[in-house]
Amino acid sequence: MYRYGQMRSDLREDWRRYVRLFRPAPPGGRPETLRVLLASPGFAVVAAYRFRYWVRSWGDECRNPLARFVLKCLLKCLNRTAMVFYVYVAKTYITHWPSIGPGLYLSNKGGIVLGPRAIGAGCTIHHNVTLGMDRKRNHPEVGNNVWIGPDCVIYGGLRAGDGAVLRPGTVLGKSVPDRCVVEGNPGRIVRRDFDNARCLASPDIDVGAQ
Amino acid sequence: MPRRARLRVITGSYEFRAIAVYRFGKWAEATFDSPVARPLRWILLAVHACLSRLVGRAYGIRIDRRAVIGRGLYIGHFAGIVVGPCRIGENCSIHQQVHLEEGVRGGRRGTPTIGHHVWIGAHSRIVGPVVVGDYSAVSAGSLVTDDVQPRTLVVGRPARIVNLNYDNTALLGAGPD
Repeated sequence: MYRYGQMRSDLREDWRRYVRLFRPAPPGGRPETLRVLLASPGFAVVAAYRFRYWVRSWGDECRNPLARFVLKCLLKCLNRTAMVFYVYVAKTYITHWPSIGPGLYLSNKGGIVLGPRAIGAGCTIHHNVTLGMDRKRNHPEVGNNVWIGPDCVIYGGLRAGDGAVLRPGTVLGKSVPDRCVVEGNPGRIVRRDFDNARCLASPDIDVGAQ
Repeated sequence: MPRRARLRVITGSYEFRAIAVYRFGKWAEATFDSPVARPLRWILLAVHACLSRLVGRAYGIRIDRRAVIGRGLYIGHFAGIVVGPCRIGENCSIHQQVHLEEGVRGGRRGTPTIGHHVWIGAHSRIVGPVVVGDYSAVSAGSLVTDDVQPRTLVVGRPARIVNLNYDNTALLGAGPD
């Protein structure tokens, strides 16, 4: 069940994050709010996904068979169009219909393949990240405020806890608790009880180092 | 395979298109080899060069025409795949962000050789004159710097052997990692 109002508030939250990270205000000026819409494929992917998710859940709960049919057809067209955009422009791909919390930041550089069960609120996902299934076809789950660096792979039925940081190049196959820093292949916890507010507030790829 | 599923592969699979372009280039190279057919070959290879550039830019799947790939290649997802002039056996499957490239290892310069029925997970790098044996599996995110025996599972960066008698049929049957 995904209401229109919720989609709108989620999108507003995404937009706010993109403006803050991708198009911050120049010194002494106003933030370039509209530029986000034009110049950020990552935001377009998130927006398109939320819209598709809303159409899908609307069609699922629709009682009228005709409206249901129309919505399903619309969803198929949307999927096709979105897929073309995802592949050719954004190089980002979201499958398996995860529920995504408000304020997701996907990198604009692309190379992202997302197939999780769920993504929490306020996450940052950088380029060349894979969230996929293992050989038993379990999908990962990402908590709130997780920072995932570039070139990370997360696979299997695990859960990355709230506020976790995955340093660049991590390969994670096991669950990690809240607020810890993970590094390496296979991923090991290198630090516990880490506050990642600074990582999430910056678009840089290696702020997790400190 | 039902006809509908076949159609879906042709209309909806970007990875299949990339492989098709590669096969087209190989076919043009091998078929029109006689001196009479040379001009036609040049034209077809020029078409192939354009198409493969396009596929490389649009989907991020770059397969070199010098690569020798057996039948039944499966590419799991688009984005960031680089297949240099290497040898790949039959029924292999590779996933997104995999690099198989020419490189230097131990003072020797060369290209990787992949056996039959090998599963290469996402974000793996296999660089240099490395031989990966039949039925082995390279786990996600590994960097293979040494030869891999047949039926072996290697994990990590640099890759270490985890299982010496590994059955990868479930992986080859499954979808993307």
